[in-house]
Amino acid sequence: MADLRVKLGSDGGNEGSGDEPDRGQLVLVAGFALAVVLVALVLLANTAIFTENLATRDNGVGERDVLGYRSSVVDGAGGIVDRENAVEYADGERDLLEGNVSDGLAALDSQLRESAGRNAASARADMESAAFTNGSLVRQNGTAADPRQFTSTGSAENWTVATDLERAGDGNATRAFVAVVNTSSLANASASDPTDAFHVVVTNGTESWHAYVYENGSSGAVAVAVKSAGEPASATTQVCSVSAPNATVDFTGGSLGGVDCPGLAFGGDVAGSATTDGYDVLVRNGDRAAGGYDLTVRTAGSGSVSAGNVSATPSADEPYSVPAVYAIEFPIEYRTSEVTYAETVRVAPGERDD
Amino acid sequence: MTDSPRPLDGSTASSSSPTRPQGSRDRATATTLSYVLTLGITALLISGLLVAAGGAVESQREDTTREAMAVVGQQLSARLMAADRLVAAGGSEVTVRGTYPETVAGSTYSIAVEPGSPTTIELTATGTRVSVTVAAPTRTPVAETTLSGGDIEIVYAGGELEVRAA
Repeated sequence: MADLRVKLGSDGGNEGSGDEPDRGQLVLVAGFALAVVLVALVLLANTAIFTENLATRDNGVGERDVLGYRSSVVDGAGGIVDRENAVEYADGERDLLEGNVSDGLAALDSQLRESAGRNAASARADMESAAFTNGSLVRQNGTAADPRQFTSTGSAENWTVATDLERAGDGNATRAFVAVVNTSSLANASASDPTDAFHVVVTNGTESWHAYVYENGSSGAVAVAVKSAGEPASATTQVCSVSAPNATVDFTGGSLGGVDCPGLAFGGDVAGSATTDGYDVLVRNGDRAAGGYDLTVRTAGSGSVSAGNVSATPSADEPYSVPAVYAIEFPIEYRTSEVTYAETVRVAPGERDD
Repeated sequence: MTDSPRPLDGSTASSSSPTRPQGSRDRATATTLSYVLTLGITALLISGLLVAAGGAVESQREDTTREAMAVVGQQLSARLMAADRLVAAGGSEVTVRGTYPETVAGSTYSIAVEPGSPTTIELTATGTRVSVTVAAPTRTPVAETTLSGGDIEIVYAGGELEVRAA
């Protein structure tokens, strides 16, 4: 019928035959143009479909896996450090303690590496370059059912637990300070008159932070009151309480009876990140509380456990100290095709969060 | 075709004085006029159709570009915020990569990262000049950059997040 190009020779003065191809050409060109437009529309529809596909196939970069790996390492290493510390190595066995912690961490690393491998990720915790921070575990082996008074080895009720504890970097110098107290052993007091109650004092020589644990005179509940550093004794305020025959006070974790206690931040400004001074941890009225407690102090630098007040060998009735790992730092690395993450993690379980 | 008007023309011609040459000239004018009219109307219709279709294609193209860039922008924003979370978790070396098309709806596009509160990512298609802005609130400072679309990586360096071409 019609042709895009006019046939050679058909143009030669013959009007009748020249009309047909011309008219046909207009419709044909228009048809082609419309075809091109339709193809363009189809291509755009294809782009739109591809966009929808792109929008739905993205599943994030897997940062949850990275953060999951990180917390597995930190939690796992924290558990290993705590377990090894709880073995209570003898005074000269620090090398053995650190060797066992390293072995545990290496086993943890290989397991986590395997599980990361199943998610197409390469994860590595470099235990070879782990840095240990020396510490001491101070412990009094009492329980709520079989309580021991919180006095020193010489049965003094006012005594010093540790001196010149130094912070380093963003870390603290006391961690996992948890005491179980028997309510009936506590002094009957109130936040306005707490002087007779058992209290823990954190002092740097000029300012001191107090945490009182007592039986609230009016409600009979176990209560914790705090006096901030630099404040007068009248500024003591009760921060939390729990009604129970015995209660767990987590001084560094900030909880009472397992319930979060925001006002209880061990050491306040004296031990917080605002200061770099060393501080002492003291016990006052240790005879007005009974139960058991654990705390790990950082003895790196000039920090030390008060030798006269705390026995150097494990003892059934008296507070004692054993070598411990306070903190451990090591580099971790997590790689997938989409994300690379590296960090030097610091593991010090039970440290106060600033 | 030229034959069909003859009987009609003949009947009118028979009532008046016989003017054959004049009648034949009328017929020729009518034929040329109808031809021109037919062509004109056809051309008008077709060009109308083409203009309408072209406009539809153009607006579809802009919509598709906008949609595609919004998707790329949101994914980029998600990645930037993921990198921010990783830095907040304590990461010292953080790199997040993303694979994106180099062109959307047949046109290249640029990605401009503008720090502020919140950080914004503006994608502009070079052909249609369509632009899409996506917010990416981050805690870590973000470096100001402009790069062309395609594969990118977000790198934490010098205390800030930087979007780079991979």
